[in-house]
Amino acid sequence: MAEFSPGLEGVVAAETAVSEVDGANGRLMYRGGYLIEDLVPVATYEEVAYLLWHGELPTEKELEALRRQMAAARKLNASARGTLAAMDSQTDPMDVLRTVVSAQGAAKALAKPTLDEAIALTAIFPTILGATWRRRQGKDPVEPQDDLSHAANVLWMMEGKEPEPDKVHLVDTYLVLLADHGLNASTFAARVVASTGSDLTSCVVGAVAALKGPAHGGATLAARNMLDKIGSADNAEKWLTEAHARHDRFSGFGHRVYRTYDPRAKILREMAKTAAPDLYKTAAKTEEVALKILHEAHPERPNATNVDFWASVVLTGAGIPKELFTTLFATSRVSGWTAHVLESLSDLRIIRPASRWIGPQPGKKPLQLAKR
Amino acid sequence: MSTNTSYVPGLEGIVASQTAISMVDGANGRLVYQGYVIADLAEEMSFEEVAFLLWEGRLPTRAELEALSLELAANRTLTQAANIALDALPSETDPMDVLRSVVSVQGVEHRLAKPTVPLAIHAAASFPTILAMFHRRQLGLEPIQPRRDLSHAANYLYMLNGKESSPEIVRALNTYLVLLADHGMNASTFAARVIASTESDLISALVGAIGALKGPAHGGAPAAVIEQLELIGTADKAEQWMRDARKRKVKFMGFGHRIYRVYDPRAKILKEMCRRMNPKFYDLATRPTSSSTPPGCCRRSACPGSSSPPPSPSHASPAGALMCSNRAPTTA
Repeated sequence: MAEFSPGLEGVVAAETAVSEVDGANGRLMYRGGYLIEDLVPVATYEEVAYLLWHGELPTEKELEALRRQMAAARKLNASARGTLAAMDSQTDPMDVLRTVVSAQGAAKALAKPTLDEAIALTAIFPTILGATWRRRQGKDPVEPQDDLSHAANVLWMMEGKEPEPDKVHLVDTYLVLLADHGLNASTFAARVVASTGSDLTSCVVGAVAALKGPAHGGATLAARNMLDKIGSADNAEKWLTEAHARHDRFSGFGHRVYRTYDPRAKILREMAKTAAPDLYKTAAKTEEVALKILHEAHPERPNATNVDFWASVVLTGAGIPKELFTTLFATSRVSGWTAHVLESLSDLRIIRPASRWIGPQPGKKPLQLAKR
Repeated sequence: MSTNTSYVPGLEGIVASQTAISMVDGANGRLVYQGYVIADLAEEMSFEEVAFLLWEGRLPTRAELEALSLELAANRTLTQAANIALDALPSETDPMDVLRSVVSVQGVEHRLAKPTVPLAIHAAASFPTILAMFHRRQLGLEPIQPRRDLSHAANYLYMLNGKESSPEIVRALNTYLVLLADHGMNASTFAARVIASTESDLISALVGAIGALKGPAHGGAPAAVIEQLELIGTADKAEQWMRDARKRKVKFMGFGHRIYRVYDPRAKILKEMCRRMNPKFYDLATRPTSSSTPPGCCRRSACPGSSSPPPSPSHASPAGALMCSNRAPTTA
């Protein structure tokens, strides 16, 4: 039997045209061959979602149709509202998201994933995010606004006031940057679920469940928590040196695929300067010292800053509370998850890998209970 | 990094993990739990004993089994949130969607917790309650609260039917639960492991696994078998129905498996049980494949050049018939 690759590292588990991570050259390409840095200045999240689903950027008319369709799908249904209300207001926001998406998509009969469903699922995430935050604050939820963009609705439903254009721009750019990223763990989870012929909600719920992990979507919060502990640029050297001596991992550094600077981190780093000037100073010093320490300890490794590090600074500048970082990540990635599931339908084959047996040899005879 | 860069559809033959929990020996038609061949466990062990074996790597002592049974019994009640969420779903909802949603609510937490055996026990205890409560609601019946003095299988039937089932029926459901408790790196188990690999929580892994199990190519199969058997109707119509179906290129439900090259050992045990318990259904279910060599009218063998294993009944076929005889929801 074939060799065991822990974490399936280097194994090609799918063919995809949705996005491509070129780790050697530090490039991220979305469907159609667009480099991420070329999309960011021109495309909103809605346009990028359209691109991931259709393979081309929308015309003005197509974009308008998508916006209208999303606006019409932003309200929670009765099942989702009832389920949301059932949960303690201090529940982990990712557990709220996992559960409410599941309830919103509960259906009578199994249906094949469709683009309309993908659009509806994507549209609902800001509503769940906003309601989760307001419940945590003991406030009533705010209804979505049809004339606001996806990113603006995120802030509107959280804060209940007209969001500042600067902050909307930060959130929108973040959503564009995180919308897809090759066969990451949550996307792969979605494709595994899809491979059994299951429905789109099941795929997205599985992906949310995977994104929750601190080794995946939870990493942005970990990076921000580390910056909070460091506190100021002056403290960075001392804090990181001590943490390194304790063998603590630095959050926000290293990536399995990128051998060089993550292109998304590069864009977010620039944005962070004006988005959150104070936190930027701490982060920039932290990055400098952390890379120095990591390079001294492991000169052979490509020790690069990852997207989570700079995303944590930009999201802070956008006024997103850190408890919602992973939920906002999901709010972006859901377009990628659904694009992957829809893509996989054309060549659906159940994903059922082999495993290496490390247990006792077959044929052990069970003892009766009385003799154990 | 591995240099294996060719695309392997479905990850077939790719070793994705190491495990001591169960092994599917397809060539010899064997399923092994922690070293024990399934035939040695199926009709001897309770679901509780087998669950302990899968979690701890060995069979429990009497004291350990009692402790586990108590822990399961004590965690059968749904949380208030789960009860409310269950009621919020329309009664015509697909039971797998109900399970996915209510397991998710039952397991919500304030802070991320690492998976542990106690958390696994609590989750396992809640599944029958969720399914039974919902099943009764669909029938317009009052919910039945779980009982602590009954086994996992007996309590499930009690919550479904509102009365205790005969020992024979309890035993049949118990055997079914034992037979299906694990099966190598199947798609839902793999989904759970992918989710766990991000260091997410246990409930997240389970919710993802339920989503995968729902698919008709995986756990949805027994329900499809029952539907096909109902369409066939009686044993004497089986041959004509199957031949017509093949011409119409209708899939035969309950046949074929990626791994088993010979008869699925679970199917063998279920078939024998079905013969004892429900002879009429057995007759219907076995007619198309009454000889040891199934007729060459299976969807896979119908594809020229197919590298698939020879078609043989998968566990789904007798399982469907068994679940029907239990009057348990076929999605259980």
